Amino acid sequence: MSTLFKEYFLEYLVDNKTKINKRWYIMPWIITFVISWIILIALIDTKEIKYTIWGGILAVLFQLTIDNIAIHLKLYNFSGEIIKIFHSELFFTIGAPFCIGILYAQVYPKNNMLRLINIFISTALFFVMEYALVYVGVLKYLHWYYLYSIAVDITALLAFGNLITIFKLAPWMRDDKL
Amino acid sequence: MKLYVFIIFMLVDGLFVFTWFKYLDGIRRKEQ
Repeated sequence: MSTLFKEYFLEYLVDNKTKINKRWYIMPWIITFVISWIILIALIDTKEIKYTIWGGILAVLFQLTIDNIAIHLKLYNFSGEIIKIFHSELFFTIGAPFCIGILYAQVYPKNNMLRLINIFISTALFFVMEYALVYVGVLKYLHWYYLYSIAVDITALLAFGNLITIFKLAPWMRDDKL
Repeated sequence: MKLYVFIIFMLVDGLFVFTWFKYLDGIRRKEQ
């Protein structure tokens, strides 16, 4: 193996700052992407996709805006990115926020109490993923705390639910009877 | 080791997400 190739190869595989193997370092983003898409494919109603896809696009815009501001302000940081998009990781953006945004619009409940419960359960489930990302080391809190994330998630889901209502993205909102 | 714990975390979380959204989708299909 030539020295040049060895250097290039090692530089590619090992992050110089953290000395962590990059192949393993990028895996959390791939894993979140794959699991999100498996859930999306398993549950999506293809007849409704022309409306619900806007839920996914709105969720992506929410995530990119919030994360871009927070990373710019050095509140937290991502590492091990494969493809960067507005300071975020592309595989994360088109993974969890996009897929869950579509499903959130598709299953948005009619019942007001169920809407409220849905916000808290979705926040809890999203928080587990965030905790796992912090645990594995690809998400680093600089001037941030877990409780802040929960507050931001609840606020974002409240706003997202409002947009679903305004644009009638949930299937039952477009029923002729209503 | 951390990555394996992460994978377990994500699989369990993914299973709960699937179950919750499947439940809500069931309500939607029943109502339509």
